[in-house]
Amino acid sequence: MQINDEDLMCQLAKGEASALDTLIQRYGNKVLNTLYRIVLSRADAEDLCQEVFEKLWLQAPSWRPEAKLSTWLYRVASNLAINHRQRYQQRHVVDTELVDQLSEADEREVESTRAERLDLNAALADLPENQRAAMYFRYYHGLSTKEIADVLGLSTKAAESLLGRGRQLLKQRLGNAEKAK
Amino acid sequence: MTQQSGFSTLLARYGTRREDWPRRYRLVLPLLLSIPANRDSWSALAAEEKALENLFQCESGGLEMSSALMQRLAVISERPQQNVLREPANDELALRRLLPIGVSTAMASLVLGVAVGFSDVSAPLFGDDAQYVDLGSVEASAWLQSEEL
Repeated sequence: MQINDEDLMCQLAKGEASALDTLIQRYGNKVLNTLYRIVLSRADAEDLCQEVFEKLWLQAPSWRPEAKLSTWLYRVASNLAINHRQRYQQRHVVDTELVDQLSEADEREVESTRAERLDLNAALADLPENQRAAMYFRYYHGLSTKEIADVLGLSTKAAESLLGRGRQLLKQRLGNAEKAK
Repeated sequence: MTQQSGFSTLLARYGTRREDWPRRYRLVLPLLLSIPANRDSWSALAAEEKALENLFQCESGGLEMSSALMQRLAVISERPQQNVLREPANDELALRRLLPIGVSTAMASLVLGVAVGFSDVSAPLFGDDAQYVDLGSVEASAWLQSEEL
């Protein structure tokens, strides 16, 4: 039977390394992808992913099960990612790794998918980090506006506004890319 | 503002997830959607949102943790935690139980002290009573003098 997050956090609070391993297996890829969607660089996403789990390990003794662990992880990840970008002022960076991976696959089969991916990457790269994060939590994780507000530490109105503007900008960018083809 | 542009503003703001709409608007949503133009706007946005969702689902989530990252994560638990949780000792628990009583006692003493300070306990030292003190000392010296004689 799978141990629930709360029990794992109790074990983690007592310093049990195996609990951390289980949580990394459970959430590692999700956290990494969340970070990657915001920073758009695999190397940066991996550095930040390490930071997220370091925080989890260090702060486990003072953990209070008031929020879901996944919400806490996404909140820490998005804060780190948004601050990371602001810190280094590296906007509009698009990771080319995904493109390289794709080029190794069958060209004909993936052509349309690759174009879509590139479009989405490029369109997302034009969005400010907080809008990008809001859009990712909505359309990838399927979170409600209230949950997004909670994760990003914003009011519901601010989250609504981020989603509204993000949707509009993304639509515009994807529309422009479509016209350019 | 026309009724339709009002609906478009709400739609742009809250999207096509009913649970994201404030309750007051959610209640009238069926009524608003009974208008064909509103229903069309809703369907168009729902289709856009579905396309975005598919795009995100198809594009994201493909990233797997590299072995290098796994190795970096594996050594995190070698570091000491900030403050390891421990079971409180029995005498610590007893102290925790007694602490509120001690604090209450100290507060009661403080309040009592302040109340006494403002009461007229010291009043006999002033006014007419002070004169009696003086008179008392005069009478005593007279008595002493008569004793000497």
